Amino acid sequence: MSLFKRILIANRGEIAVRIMRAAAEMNIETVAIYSDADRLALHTRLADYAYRVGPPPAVESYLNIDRILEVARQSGAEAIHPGYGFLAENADFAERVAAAGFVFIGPGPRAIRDMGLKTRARQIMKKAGVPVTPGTESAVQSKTAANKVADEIGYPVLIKAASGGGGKGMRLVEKPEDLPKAMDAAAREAASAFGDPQIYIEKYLESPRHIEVQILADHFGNTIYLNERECSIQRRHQKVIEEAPSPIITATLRKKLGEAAVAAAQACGYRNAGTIEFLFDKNLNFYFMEMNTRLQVEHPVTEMTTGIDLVKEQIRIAAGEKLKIKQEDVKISGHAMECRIYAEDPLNNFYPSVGQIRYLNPPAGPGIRIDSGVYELGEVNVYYDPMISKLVAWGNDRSEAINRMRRALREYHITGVRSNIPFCLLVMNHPAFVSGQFDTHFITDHFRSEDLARGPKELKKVAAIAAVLAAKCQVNPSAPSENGHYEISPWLTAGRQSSLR
Amino acid sequence: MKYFTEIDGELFEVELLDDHSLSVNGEVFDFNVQQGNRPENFSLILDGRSHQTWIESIKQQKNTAAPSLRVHLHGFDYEVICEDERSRQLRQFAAVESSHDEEGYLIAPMPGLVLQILVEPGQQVNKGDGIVIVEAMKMENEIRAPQAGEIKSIHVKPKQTVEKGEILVVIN
Repeated sequence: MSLFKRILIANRGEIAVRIMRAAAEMNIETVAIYSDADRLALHTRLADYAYRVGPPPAVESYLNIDRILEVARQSGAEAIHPGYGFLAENADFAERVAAAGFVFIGPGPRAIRDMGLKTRARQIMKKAGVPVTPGTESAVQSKTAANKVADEIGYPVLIKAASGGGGKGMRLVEKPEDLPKAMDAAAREAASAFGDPQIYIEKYLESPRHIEVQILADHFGNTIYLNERECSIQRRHQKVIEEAPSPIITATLRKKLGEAAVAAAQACGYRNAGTIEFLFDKNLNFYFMEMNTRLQVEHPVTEMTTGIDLVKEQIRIAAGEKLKIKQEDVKISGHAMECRIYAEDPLNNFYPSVGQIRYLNPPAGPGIRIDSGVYELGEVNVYYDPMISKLVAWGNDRSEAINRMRRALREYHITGVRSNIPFCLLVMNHPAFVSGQFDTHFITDHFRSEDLARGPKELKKVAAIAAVLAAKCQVNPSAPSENGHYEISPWLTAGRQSSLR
Repeated sequence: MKYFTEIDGELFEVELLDDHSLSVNGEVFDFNVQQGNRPENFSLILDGRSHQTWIESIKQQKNTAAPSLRVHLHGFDYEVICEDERSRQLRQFAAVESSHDEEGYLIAPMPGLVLQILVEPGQQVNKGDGIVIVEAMKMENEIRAPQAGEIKSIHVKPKQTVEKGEILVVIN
């Protein structure tokens, strides 16, 4: 079976770059699509071919299915990789890609559709014997019915959007009298965010851990699990720091969890790479939460610890190859940690920080991997996700991975936009994180923004000295340019800086 | 020459003694500073300890505020108010002159789209109350009251795009 000659990547940023790298190593040509905001983006420049798809807003460019299919035809691509986000979990897109005669590098539309509807996913999992959190397997139709369910499973309960995700259309209800109001609010939010007001109820786990399992499934009935990723460090339901393996999973539990994940994937007829997210309670009971029918942002920690290139496997599976890896071949080597580096200001309520990246000095050295889609003098804009890069550190064990991550975070310098690097460093230094004893409330429980500015007393003195000397050196701190940066020609310095990474 | 710096309310008085020594609150240090490959990048050696630092100026919302620098050092970010003796005197003078200052202006912290106004003119709010919801990069951000007071005026409406630094609401 021969692989593809050329594939189109229907995405942008770091994930587009990541996919292109895998393709290049397989001698497959790549086709990039770009919006007007991304003409100079890394993915546009790194691809073998690049086609404009539209103006900056995603609906007119990276979500424009008609235009993307037109480009696919024009460019002579045989397959389309959706990356994550944008159209990755859009069953209609997967269907149209296939109907237009291209291979969709991902699962079939039915699995995407089934897993996208949370109530349907719960039904399928329950039937397959995969544990799900107590609650309803279909949308709740009335407040009376909801009351009855909530009483049965016991408060607190969560109201969730049937078509939801990412915390939207979700409400925590502590007592019965709050239920009706919360149901209305959740339904309203769900309708506006997902175009579907349907909601369901499940038991709220008090201090859960979020642990997920990577699976691979080919078209010959082989499904394997590539172990777990610990993703409990979250802010507003968005993962910030992930690692593999999880510090609380034993070999016995890993096998049980992995087998549940394989059962879940098989229950929905899954093909290609996918992730089953589980919630763990204090007693290490786990429950199916949802399945992500695509490559995950945090896939590198699995790659670093298993040595398996997930994107290459996705491409091989899509091309109709049989999985060469057997379950018994999957080993864990060392420990990997990932920090999502965002352009946001941790001192100012984590507001996104847009602007030009003036200076970018990413860390390097042993055990460090950076998946980045930004470049020096590039803009972080309001149109897309504010992620700058994913910084991954590998170590022989968890403690070496943490020490390496600390070292890398201290080496990482970005100016022009604010980043959450100081925040990531704070987590890496926190005793609760280091001990491995934490849950999804870690940031709410432990993070105080004033801790970010605290630092050691001696360093403050150094900061004061540095400020004075810098101010004296040459810049005039009272006269920043319009966007708060020094007025210097970017072209003079651009040449001096090393080439794109 | 004497300089006054402030980090989180802590004062550091820096005096340059000659081209290789300085004092901080009276403590003397030997120093050597070199600018790196970027104007904001400095290598500082202080009593033999080497520090890599990136320094950017922070745009002030108010004209009367002291100039402020952001110092990135060993993974920490410090906001350092920094001025010399003369400009400190000048600024203090200017601050007295414009005593009807700009406190109470709720400013957009980033560019974005106004989704919802959570208050009405005349409403009493507490410090930390949500005032306006602004969407930026697909995320909803609740802009909170920096102080307690009465909503004097509202300067934006839903679906309006705002620039960073734009006045959203005035609180009295």
